[in-house]
Amino acid sequence: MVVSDIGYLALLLAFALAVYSCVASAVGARWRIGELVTSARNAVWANSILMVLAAGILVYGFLSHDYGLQYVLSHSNRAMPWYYVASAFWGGQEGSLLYWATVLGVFSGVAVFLNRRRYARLMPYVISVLSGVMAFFLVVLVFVTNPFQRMPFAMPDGQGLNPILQDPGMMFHPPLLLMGYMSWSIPFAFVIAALVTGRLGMEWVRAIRRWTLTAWTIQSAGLLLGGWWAYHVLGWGGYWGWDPVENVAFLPWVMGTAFLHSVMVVEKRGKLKVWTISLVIAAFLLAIFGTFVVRSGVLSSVHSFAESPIGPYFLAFLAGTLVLSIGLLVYRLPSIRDEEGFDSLVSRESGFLANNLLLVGVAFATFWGTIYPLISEAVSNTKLTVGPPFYEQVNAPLFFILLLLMGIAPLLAWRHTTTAALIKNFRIPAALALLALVATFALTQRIFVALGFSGVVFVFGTIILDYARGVSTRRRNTRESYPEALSGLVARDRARYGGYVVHLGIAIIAVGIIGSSAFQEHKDINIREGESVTVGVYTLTYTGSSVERLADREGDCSTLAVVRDGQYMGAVTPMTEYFPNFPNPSSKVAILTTPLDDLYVFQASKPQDGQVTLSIFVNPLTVWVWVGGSLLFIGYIICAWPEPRPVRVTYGAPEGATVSGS
Amino acid sequence: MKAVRGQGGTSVEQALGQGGGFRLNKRLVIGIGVIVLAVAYLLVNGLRDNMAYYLEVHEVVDRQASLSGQRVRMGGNIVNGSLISNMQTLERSFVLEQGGATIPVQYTGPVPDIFGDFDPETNSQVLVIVEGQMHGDGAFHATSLQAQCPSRMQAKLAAANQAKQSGTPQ
Repeated sequence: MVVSDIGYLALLLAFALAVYSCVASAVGARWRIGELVTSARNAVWANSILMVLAAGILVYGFLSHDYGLQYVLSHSNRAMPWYYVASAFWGGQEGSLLYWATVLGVFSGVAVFLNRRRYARLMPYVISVLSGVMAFFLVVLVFVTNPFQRMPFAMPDGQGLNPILQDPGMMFHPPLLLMGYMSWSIPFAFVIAALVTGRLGMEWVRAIRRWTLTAWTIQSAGLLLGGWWAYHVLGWGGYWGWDPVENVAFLPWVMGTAFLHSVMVVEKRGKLKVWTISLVIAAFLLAIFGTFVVRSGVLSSVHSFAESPIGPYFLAFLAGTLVLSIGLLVYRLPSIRDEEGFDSLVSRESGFLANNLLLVGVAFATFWGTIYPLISEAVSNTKLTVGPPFYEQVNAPLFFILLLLMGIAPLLAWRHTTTAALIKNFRIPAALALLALVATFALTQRIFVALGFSGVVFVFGTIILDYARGVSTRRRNTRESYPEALSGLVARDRARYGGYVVHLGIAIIAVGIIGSSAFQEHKDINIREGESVTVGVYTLTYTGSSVERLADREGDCSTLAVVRDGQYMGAVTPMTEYFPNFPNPSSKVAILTTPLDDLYVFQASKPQDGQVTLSIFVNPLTVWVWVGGSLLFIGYIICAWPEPRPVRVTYGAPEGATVSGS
Repeated sequence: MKAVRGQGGTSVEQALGQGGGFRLNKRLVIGIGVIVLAVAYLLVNGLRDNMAYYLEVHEVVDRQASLSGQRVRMGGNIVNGSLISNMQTLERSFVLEQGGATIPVQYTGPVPDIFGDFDPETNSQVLVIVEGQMHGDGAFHATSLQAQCPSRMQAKLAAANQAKQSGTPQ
């Protein structure tokens, strides 16, 4: 018996416990046998520990270079630095599914612990659903792709990890993205529990609020890091390529975004309940679908579904969950009561409804384009595909309207907004947006670009105006200083003001996306030593090449002197790297970042005979994608920050009452 | 936590009925309809403008006549020794082979690191996927080129890599 066998035993035991907990909890709740529910709950906690143990043993297998372990053998070697050895954990199918299940184990344990004295009627079914999902992943891990599979004999060294995965971006992008997928399990479990018990009031909404915010933020971080990785490593000059794998990661995020808006209509107005429940179910199913596609790469053909060993299991689980969820929803339909119809088209709830329809439209178009090759092949036996232009053409107008809605939202009140109030609030931001429209159009001669930028200005205008109004009202009433008034304002309605910060982040990301997609300049060229090439405002002079030798690789670099608008900016050195274990070289892109643009130099072939082939891009405003991305995180912190007690005490006090928060 | 209903509802429209979900009024239905139709319009248009056939080499040979002017994506292996590269102009021509059928291909632009014909050292053949159009001269003029290595894990990564690299040449 070797250490890794303990890992397998842990998985086996966890599987038995998950099945037990799934059944026992539901049976215990149905026939009111408290001991059963309690034992199921304890089984969830036991599983959290077992999963962490199993994951720990795999990490140990990596760090101790146990090359008798097939997974370790095929994803690491002795030459790799320890941090890439450890992060090779999620470099392949078995490990990333184990990671998924481990995080599910931990999150389930935490969710059950935090709610141990709350939602007494819902929790048994929450436990049952979470354990059911866990049991599914453990079936796959134990019987189909066992991460602890041993070789007949140990090898002296491993095969190593694909060089393009040995990058800081890859240490954090996959675990965050997978964790984001996984974290939709918790809201899903609460929604199913609410449907099973028929307790469809506000409990489930309150229970999942923070979980959904967290899931959304983790997913956002995962997507952004993925883009960042692609930008720095792949060398095609962009960060998002509407690749099937990217699309399936994007889908649950879009559904989650729609949910975060519609749930406010449920909370504040008691409407859109069925819709909101459906969004949670859709987000969870798409998250499972995404995990499956990312891990198996099945989207190339219908036939590969059959070839992938995990394919049938995932399809069965998806189909089963879909049928079960929709069945439950239909069964409960008569008892889900919404409040009376919409009061007015000009209201915040209508704005959220429009936002939801547009987001679901984006998700639908993206999903359709992604599975189009499969559908067309199945229906007509001719495979048809669509490329990035399809997604851009369909989604760009939808995103633009969403941007405008983001700007209008702060101006809309719940129930009904009078036209007079709207115009009064609308004046300044609209004037600014119009000014921006004219100015950017005069500057760029591109109407869609000008529209996009003016939309961003509009969003900034209304949000800043709303903040300014709130602060000045507070100052009038409380005589606070500006910073006090601002923090007091935010503390009173974290969801609103945190949400605005997220909106500002999205608007800044939009600036980056518009800039880099509309004004990218690109040149592929073969140049000799001493020659210069000009791309946009940059002039690069090829000064020579060199060879760099590191412990585990060898790099061929070329060095170019960069001049921007007549000013010397330094040198860039793109590189082609060779790893002894991998036949194919990988490239290191050289990027020179300024607030206005990125110079992006990719060595398309290694330097030879005094010449080199380069792909040179000038990507305007790209840095703002990452800047805006970090604002999403700040917005999340504001939204999810625990409410300090004094605020809760004075909750609902009339405007102007003293609030001693923070 | 139920919101007070009907309060101040001077502008409440006649409810059109009560689905299991939420009640709608006429203007709301129109609003929803407009958005749904707009999305459908964009989707149908987008598909029509950007569709490309994904064919095998022999299918392209067989259907050559009917494919003129159509965007086609096809995959195959480079016939040994057929690759001619001009490093100065980045022009490449080669013959793509699959299942006994062959087609000459022309492409200008940078190629992925793993692009090339049969590599005896690693005993592997690179799968090349090109997108472009058939021209009257019987040659395939590719506007984008991807390459996939044969090993499973590698293949997936390279596919992700190259799909992007080809992207949309502008």
